[in-house]
Amino acid sequence: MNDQAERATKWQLATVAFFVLLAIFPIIVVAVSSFKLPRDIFSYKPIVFFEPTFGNYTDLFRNWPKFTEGLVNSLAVTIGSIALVLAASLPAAWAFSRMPQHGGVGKSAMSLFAMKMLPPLVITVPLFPIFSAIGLDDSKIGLILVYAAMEFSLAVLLLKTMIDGIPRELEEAALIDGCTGIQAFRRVTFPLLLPGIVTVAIFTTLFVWNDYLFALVLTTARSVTAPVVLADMLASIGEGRSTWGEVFAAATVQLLPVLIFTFIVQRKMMSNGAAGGLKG
Amino acid sequence: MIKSPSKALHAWALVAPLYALLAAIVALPEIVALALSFTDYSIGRDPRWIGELNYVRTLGSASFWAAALRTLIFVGIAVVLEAAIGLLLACLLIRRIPMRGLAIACLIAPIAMSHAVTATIWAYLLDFNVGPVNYVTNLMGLGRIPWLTEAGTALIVVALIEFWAGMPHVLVMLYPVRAAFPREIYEAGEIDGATPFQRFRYLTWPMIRPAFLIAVVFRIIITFRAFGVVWILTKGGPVDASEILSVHLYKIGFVYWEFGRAASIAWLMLLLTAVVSSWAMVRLYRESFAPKAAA
Repeated sequence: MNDQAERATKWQLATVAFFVLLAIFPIIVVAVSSFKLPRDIFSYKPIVFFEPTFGNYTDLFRNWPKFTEGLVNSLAVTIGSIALVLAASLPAAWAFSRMPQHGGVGKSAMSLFAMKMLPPLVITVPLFPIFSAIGLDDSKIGLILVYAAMEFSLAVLLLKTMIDGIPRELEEAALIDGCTGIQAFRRVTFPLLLPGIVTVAIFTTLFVWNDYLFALVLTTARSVTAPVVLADMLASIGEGRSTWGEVFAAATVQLLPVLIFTFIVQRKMMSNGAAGGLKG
Repeated sequence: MIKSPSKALHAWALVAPLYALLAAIVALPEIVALALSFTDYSIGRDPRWIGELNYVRTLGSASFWAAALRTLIFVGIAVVLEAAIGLLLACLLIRRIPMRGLAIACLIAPIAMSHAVTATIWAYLLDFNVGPVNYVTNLMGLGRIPWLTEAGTALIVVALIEFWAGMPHVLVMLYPVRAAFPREIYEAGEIDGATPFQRFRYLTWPMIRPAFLIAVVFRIIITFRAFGVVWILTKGGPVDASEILSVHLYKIGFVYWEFGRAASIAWLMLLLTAVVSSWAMVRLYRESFAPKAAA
């Protein structure tokens, strides 16, 4: 279909080019500036050609051990959340797809969508005193529980739709051959579901790695994640506790893994129109 | 298939972990919040029942209504631009464009960014002293403008940044829909001598409208709760010029530690969102869970 698509006119090309630049140029400016010497960053006139340096990165990791800790925490919380999201949504999605009529399980899925609609801030207000009371404040486990709960509806929706597309007969054949229910799922359904599982992992990563609000409210020291440290660093520029160079380097380090990741998986994102709605 | 109690038990056992976690992390805290909203609870103090006083005070406070109005302006600017530009780009990108894959990847790049990085980027670009934007406005003879620290511009500027960060989301929702339209219907349109505008008005628009509406509703819901970028960039300031509802709520809850009052604002926000979002949710549920949609 794409081969015979109409050629874009000059104006249409210019429009697309303008918005491409608007989207990518600000990101490039900051990433490139992270390799600039302070004198080049502070130059009154923006400097395009400069002598590249890794000085900002060595400064960042020397002066901001908190940022390194934040990266480690972000990584741990991201992996934990993916595991918990999948562990809870896979069986649920299977039940929603294969046995919705039993005991009204299918109808109960409506509540998943209802919960997704709650503004995160509205959830953090009561969560903060509750987590403090039961000792889950400033803990990675607490964050993982919250992130997983936030991501369930999207995960279940994606996985349920995929299981719908897998013929029931395949599982039934495995059962007849003597597999138990779990074996049939693991050997037949699971491999066919892998693309969906990868998609869920992608959306969870984008959400958890980048979240600012929940980490801001629910962590204070031990479990602070990279975005919160970055926001701190940005605020410290005015007080002279950090420099633009360090902040650029930190922003680049925090952004780069997910940006590369998005470039690689963009095709997948672009093919999930309906589910894309639940992201964010 | 015969409905049996054991099957029902089996089905519920499979969804139980999911619901247990949702109940503990989302539902229960919301009920606690509702209870708190009728108390004067604050950190390090026992909650005391004060009835509907928090709601009376919130609904009677000028700062709440001012924040609500700012939220309306913020959401209005951001969502109108996101929807219009997102739809335009979705329609343009299906044409033959050199390096289309790369163009799409660049366009949706802002989706990969945390609020902290978005805020960092724009804090620098718009910085009064070192920001390149002010270098350009200065060259153009407009002088340097304190974009984020001037009461007149702060709210509009954060809304535009929200547009920058949110537009890719609209594109991701609309482009696959537009790309799936069969080309044949457009060929028929060309034969009849339809202008591009007529083709959009009578062919594209009726087909893309359902997806467009969902995209707009989603963006309204998400933009309504926007917090991170605004909080990092302006803290709601200068004074309260960019204090939208989410920032207002955060300040009362986590800066002044008035949890009872914060809970009342949280519940008001929840009810407000519920009005817009229940429509979208019912629709999404029907699309993905209704028996006929399974085909």
